[in-house]
Amino acid sequence: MSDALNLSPQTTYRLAIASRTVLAIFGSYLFAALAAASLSLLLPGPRAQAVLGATMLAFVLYCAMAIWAFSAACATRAWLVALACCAPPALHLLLREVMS
Amino acid sequence: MKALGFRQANAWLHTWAGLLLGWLLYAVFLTGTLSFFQEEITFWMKPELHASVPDNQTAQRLAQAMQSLAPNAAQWTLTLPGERNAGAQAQWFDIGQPIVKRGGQSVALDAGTAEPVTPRETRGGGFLYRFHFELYGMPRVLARWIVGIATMVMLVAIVSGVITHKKIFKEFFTFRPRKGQRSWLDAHNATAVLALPFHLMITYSGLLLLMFMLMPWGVESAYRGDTQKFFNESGGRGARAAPAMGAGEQPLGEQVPLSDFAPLLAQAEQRWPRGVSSISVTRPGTSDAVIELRERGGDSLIDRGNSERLRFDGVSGALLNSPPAPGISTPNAIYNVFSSLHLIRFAGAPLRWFFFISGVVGTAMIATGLVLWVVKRLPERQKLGRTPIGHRLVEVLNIGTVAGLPLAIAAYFWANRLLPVGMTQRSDWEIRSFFIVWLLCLVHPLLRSHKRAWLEQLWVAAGLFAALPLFSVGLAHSHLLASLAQGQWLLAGMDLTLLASAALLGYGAWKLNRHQPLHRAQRQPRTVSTRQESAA
Amino acid sequence: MIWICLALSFSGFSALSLSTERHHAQVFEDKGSPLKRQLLRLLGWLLLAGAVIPGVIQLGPSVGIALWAAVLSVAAGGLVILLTYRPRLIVPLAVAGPSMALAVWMF
Repeated sequence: MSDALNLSPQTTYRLAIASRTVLAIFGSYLFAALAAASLSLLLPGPRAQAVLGATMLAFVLYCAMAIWAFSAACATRAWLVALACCAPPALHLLLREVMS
Repeated sequence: MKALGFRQANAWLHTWAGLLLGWLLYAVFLTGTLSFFQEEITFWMKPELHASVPDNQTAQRLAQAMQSLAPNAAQWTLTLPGERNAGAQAQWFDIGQPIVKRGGQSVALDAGTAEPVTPRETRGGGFLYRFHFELYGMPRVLARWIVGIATMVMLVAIVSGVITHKKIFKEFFTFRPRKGQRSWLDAHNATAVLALPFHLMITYSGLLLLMFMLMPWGVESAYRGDTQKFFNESGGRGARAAPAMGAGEQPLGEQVPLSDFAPLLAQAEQRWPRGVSSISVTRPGTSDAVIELRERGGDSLIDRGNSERLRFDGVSGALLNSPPAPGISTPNAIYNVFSSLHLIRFAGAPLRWFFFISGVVGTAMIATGLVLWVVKRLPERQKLGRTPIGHRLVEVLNIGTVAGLPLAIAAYFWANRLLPVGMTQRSDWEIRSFFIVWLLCLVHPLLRSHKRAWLEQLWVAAGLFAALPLFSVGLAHSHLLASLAQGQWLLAGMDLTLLASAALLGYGAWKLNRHQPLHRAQRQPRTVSTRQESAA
Repeated sequence: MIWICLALSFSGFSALSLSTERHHAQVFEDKGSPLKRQLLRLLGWLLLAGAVIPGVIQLGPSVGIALWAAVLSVAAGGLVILLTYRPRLIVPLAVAGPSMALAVWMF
């Protein structure tokens, strides 16, 4: 992509860092929020316990995704995997809205 | 970033996450560590209470005093002196007053004479505790969000730090002094790895304590936003529902004397190794009076460190049955364990000290990280021949926070000792002193060279801390020799910790003074520092 | 009880550190045979695991485990300082520590 747009290596590097940072800060939080919302409905047991468990888990997921954002081999890969992780809970919640 | 490997990428993340929020995290960690002893600090900051010496008649005497102190009370609670506070506190609600957390009337009592005492107006250790998660002078929710975000970053910093540290097991016990950057890295690694379980626990549990604000989406999704319903169903954060204290009604019938407290206290003390922490009476002087004794500390984290309670009929002194504790589900138990470990309300003195030491180690972890950032970049500054403004900013913030914050805390304690007792807004002025001094500490490094700024702040902080116990010599019941002689560890512990802090800061200053830059790292130290001085 | 836990943790960590070549050399001037180091490693883990027991007995399981975790950090920190500045004190302390703590507790 950077070749097509004729960007210098330094700009490419900076863009990559910036995109990973956005993913780590906002993308991870979005993932954690979606997971919390979805898992609260899916975890077994009484509703309040499921919410408690899902919310506690969400912070671990947030941390994992933030680390992933910087550990992936390239920024594109980081985003693709993040989107793939966000899709199931997002779809679940969407379906629930549509069906209720 | 194709060129960077997994470990290097995490090192980059760790460095920047750590640096950008390091100063805030240092402040949060330091005030949090001090908060483990917030009650002790508050007691130390109220010298008027230092004459209070509890003995084994204290509980009786104080309970008796309540009759004259609160004759029209619908409900009263007596917090007994203990290892964290040698004074007693009485709180009561007269008939008709609403029963709310900080309502009613409240007075401090001397444990020996059961007389009311008026301590000087101060927020005490409570200021440091509140600052720890609500900062100061800004809307509560905003402050909690700031601290919450910093905590999430801290979690990422810890995990990325562990990933980056490739020799974590091999170098577990390694510390190589006097090797410049290598030593700072060893110190940062040691303080981080050796107390790693504590750091992970305290950070994650901190997040859990704020979780309903930071991550409300579970409640939103499952309860459609009806948070009240969620709290009711979850058992109110796992706390056992207190039996209804329906006071505020007219007492029925004639005045009936309360049962003698001595046998009740004896029963409780047999059961509870650490004794009774408080006595509460509802509807005293009537035939439906109920006396409730509460245990000091707790013995299970799963129950949120909840202390046991014994309830007695107020007139006959007969033990009443308490409702059986409801079973605790797994998610609740997990939350309870984590939040108990963070707040350590259950802990006795020895365990509290261990947590305190761990907290100091964590604070040192952050401090060594911040210093390491500067030290690591000295060679490239050498090459550049000047100090980039970003580096200078980091240096200034490092000094102003790592040395400046302890200095400001010492100033807070000094304000407590020096401000006139009857002054209006006294507690606000103590707090203002803290912030004014901290601000000065942040500005001071701009006007001095790097090394000199460090030395000056460290020496001043050491001096202020050391002088505090000396000042107490002038206060009747507070000074160290008296408290040691009487075995009043509450005060002695604080004074000794102040002296130890002074020693630590002084040692740091002394080592820095003697420090000669390594030839390898800095070829022309004098030129660099004069350039810095002229630039600054 | 806390002191017994601390002493056992310290001894456990000492054994573990001595099971590495580097620290063995720091204390004993030689790298130690592989068998000796294996035994030290086993002893170390046993002592660390055992250190949880006094806390759990006195304070109950949840508080006892929390205490143990806190004590581990302090013990490890103390060991690092000794390894750096006074390695010769380590073996005497590790050997005498648990018995001294036991004596203190009993009297």
